[in-house]
Amino acid sequence: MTDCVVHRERLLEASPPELRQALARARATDPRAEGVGAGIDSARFETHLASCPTCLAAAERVVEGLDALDRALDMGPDMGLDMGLDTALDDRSSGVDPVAILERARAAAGKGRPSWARSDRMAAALLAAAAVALVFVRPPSGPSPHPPSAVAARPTGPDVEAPAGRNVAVLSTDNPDITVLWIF
Amino acid sequence: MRGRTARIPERTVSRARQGDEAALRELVEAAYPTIRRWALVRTGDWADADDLTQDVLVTMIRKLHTFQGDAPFESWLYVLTRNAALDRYRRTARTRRFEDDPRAEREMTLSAPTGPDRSAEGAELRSALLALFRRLPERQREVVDLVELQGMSASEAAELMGVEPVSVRAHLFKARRTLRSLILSERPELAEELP
Repeated sequence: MTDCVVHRERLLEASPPELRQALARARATDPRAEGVGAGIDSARFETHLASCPTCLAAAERVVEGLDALDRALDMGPDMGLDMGLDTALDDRSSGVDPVAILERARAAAGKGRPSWARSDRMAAALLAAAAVALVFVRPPSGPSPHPPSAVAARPTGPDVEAPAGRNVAVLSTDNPDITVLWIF
Repeated sequence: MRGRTARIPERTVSRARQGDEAALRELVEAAYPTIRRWALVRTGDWADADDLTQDVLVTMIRKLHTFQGDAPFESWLYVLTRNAALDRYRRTARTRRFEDDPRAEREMTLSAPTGPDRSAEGAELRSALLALFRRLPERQREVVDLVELQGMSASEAAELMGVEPVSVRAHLFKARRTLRSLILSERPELAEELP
């Protein structure tokens, strides 16, 4: 038990690579053998882990926990954004109305996402992210696809109609060729 | 910059600054997962992280012309994320105290996404770990993410965070002990046997 007290400190303070190495060596070590770590402390720690199932399990639990936390923090970035981006970019080059592009981007993202990512909240977040990323609207140079009655006349900048139930913010940038639409 | 934070090519940033839409798309795609992870570390909440990510993406695009290139682009993004988080906190007039908020664990557990492609056991474990993570102060969460999980050195994390390496090490020391003790306490049978 005294050994456990001593080695628990190392369990709490070792860097993840140190801990993983100690675990790997402990699993491969004969409990009666001396440790082969880089230093005396490391070697003793490995030897202790090899001979103490409780501390070995605790070390495994810590490593497992750190790995799970890392995975948890990485979840989310692949929720169909790429598909939405691709669709929006493809359509954008043909001069289609930006709102229609966003709607299609949202639809495409919705189809491609796993079910857990299809909540309204997540969809709104994705749509907004895709909108921010992709809709760089140049001032209209050709005929608008909207019927005249559907588009409010404005002296400058793009004509934008928010999708039903949503709001749109038009954000100018210092680049006259780039305007950011934020659908929220 | 070591660690797993993806380095965004300078050429992509440069082209995006000049209005190249393809480059801008590459930039957004490259920055999105990084920003979202940082946002989740800061907010501790999926929905808040998504909102914060949007804020940062908007700011990134609007202020891209101000990036001078005298520091890594990731450092600039990190500052944007930190400032956006502060703005969001001010706007919502709430300062989270994760370690003292008894609702934190429940909220995180309930709001963490799960899905058919991920085992229920794995999702439950990740949710539980995120709940424990929320109990750390924000600065410690940042350090744990950058150094403990992503593998940066203390110096690299310090550069990114705009603090001294000694500060990173101090936060890391406390965070490691706290987080690992929390992890072990989730398995009482282990904790009881360890004095």
